[in-house]
Amino acid sequence: MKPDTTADLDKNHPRRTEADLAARAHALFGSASEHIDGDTLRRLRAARVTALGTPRRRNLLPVLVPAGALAAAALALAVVWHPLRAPGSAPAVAGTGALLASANSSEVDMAQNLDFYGWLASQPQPAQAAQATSVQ
Amino acid sequence: MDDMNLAAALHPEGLAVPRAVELPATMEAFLAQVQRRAFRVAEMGLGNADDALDAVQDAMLRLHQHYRQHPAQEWSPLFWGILRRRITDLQRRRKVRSIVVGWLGTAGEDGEDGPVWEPADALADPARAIAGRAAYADLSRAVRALPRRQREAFMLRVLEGLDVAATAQAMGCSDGSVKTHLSRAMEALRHKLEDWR
Repeated sequence: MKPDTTADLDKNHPRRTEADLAARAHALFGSASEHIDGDTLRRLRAARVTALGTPRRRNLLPVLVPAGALAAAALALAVVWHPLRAPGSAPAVAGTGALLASANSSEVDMAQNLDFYGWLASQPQPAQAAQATSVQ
Repeated sequence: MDDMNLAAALHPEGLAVPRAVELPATMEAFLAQVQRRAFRVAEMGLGNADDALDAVQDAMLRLHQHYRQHPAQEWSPLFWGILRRRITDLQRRRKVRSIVVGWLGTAGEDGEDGPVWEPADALADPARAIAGRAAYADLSRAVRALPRRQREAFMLRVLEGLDVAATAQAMGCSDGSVKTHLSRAMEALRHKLEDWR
């Protein structure tokens, strides 16, 4: 326990005066805090209930930072990976497009029905078909 | 105040030393424990019960929203720091409104009272009905007249009884600054409250 450093001081000594003043102010404040009117107390209680009933604000930083890092990594990967893939595939697409652009409408139609024309080409010609019938 | 340690000086009376308050188990218990003193501090700073209630509610709300997960021993300086900032905000807002009203020249021209946010001279509550009500009103007036930082140091350190470190945390300054502000506040109050001798 610390000693009372003001006990031996003169009543009007500044240190003693300030100590007394602080003690009195503290006591008055404590008393005033105990004696609060009912209406104010009710409002304080309501304020406390409201504050405690408010949902806690979530700290989104732990979620947003990894998500952002992941997105940045994915973007970087896409940028690096894309040019490596593009040279092989791009000419084929461009070539087809250029051929179709230079063809007339019937050729375009043919190009779009390659399976059908393939099957047609594999069928015997009418002359060959007639010859085959007469032999029989 | 020389190099006097106020807390040590007041120790025999059990005042102005950190209260050996049991740590509250829940935030609700903490707020219930502190709400009355918080209201009185806000009222002393703002001079108005309604504004004081708003400030206390806002401080409670922010503490719960942002610091609920913090250890219970941190709640006290955090709460008083939030309340201190809220009181300062309201005082500044009131000052701006007062200036605007002054420019418009609407107050007092037709015999009406001043702006409604003027600090009430009297603190209307039953605390004044007790023996020391006049003294408490004198104290409130004297504390309100102090410069802001001195007022904060006095209220937190002497009235609320926080230790130097907690007061410094709540005020956002160093321990040394707290001692300086408190010393000046005590000096000023000693002169203002001469009648108390």
